[in-house]
Amino acid sequence: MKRRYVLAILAAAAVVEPGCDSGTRPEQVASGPLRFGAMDVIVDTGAAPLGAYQLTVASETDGVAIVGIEGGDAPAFPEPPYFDPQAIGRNRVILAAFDSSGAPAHGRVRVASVHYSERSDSPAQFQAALQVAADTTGTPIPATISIERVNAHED
Amino acid sequence: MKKPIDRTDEDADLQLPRELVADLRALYARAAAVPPAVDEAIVAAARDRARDRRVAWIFSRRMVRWIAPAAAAGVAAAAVLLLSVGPRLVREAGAPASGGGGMFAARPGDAYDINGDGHVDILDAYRLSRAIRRGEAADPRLNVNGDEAIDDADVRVVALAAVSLKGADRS
Repeated sequence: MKRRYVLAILAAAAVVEPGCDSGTRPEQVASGPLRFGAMDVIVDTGAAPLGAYQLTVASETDGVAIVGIEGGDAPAFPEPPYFDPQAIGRNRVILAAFDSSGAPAHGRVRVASVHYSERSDSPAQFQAALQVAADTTGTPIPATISIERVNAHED
Repeated sequence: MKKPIDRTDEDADLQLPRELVADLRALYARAAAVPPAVDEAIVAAARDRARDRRVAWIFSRRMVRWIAPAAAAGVAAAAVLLLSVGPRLVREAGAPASGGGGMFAARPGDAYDINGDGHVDILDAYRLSRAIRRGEAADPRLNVNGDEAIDDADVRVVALAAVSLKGADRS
């Protein structure tokens, strides 16, 4: 009697579970050891003060998932930037922030750090694209963006 | 003394007369004629009986014993679906996810285009924030969240709309 219950429940779980999450998340696809890492996101405005920025960070590597967003350098961007919480667990995020400190940074500024997990055999590859950077008046200014891997360790 | 009669099978004289044999064969060898209507009735009755036996098997004890486990399996499947898909459905319905606290794309994007450049980005939130700091945010259209005041809550709504993945996917 009990065996019938167990068999029926296992069969139902086997049928239902694989298809229940149609929006498959990257970390559930790839196999391999789970590793965590972080990368700094750096915006360089040269001599112009950085009043605001908006950028996209994404990875096409299988098994990569963003797990956390951290603020950047004080005093301009110490708090985590604005981001969509639904980006957590996915492989793409839009980050944005503006300076309200009254002491805008310029030059090479670490505006945020992105923490991620990966299950791929090869290291995760990220791409960053700057959507807009502006000075303290809100006027768009030219700037470059780069990302620097901080570390990676296995769980 | 009277001689006893020998009735053994080996008796060569134990043969029926040929006429009698012929009459008996004529009497019993004739095939019984079955009318087609009777034949079809018999076949139909046989089919009905076979169908009844199949239906009876479905509800036999063997199947009844699996009803309770099947119901338990259905409940388990429903629970798995609810736990895995439910939270995502709630989030996609517009409820803020943990840590978000914002309303994503709850209003048309144009309502957040504060600087009027045709798209919503952080510069709209920045412009609104600076206007509030300088005391220049008197336009009721800047009250994007519809509460009593134009304040940082409105700035946050615009900023979260700017970074919304849904908004980015639409554009």
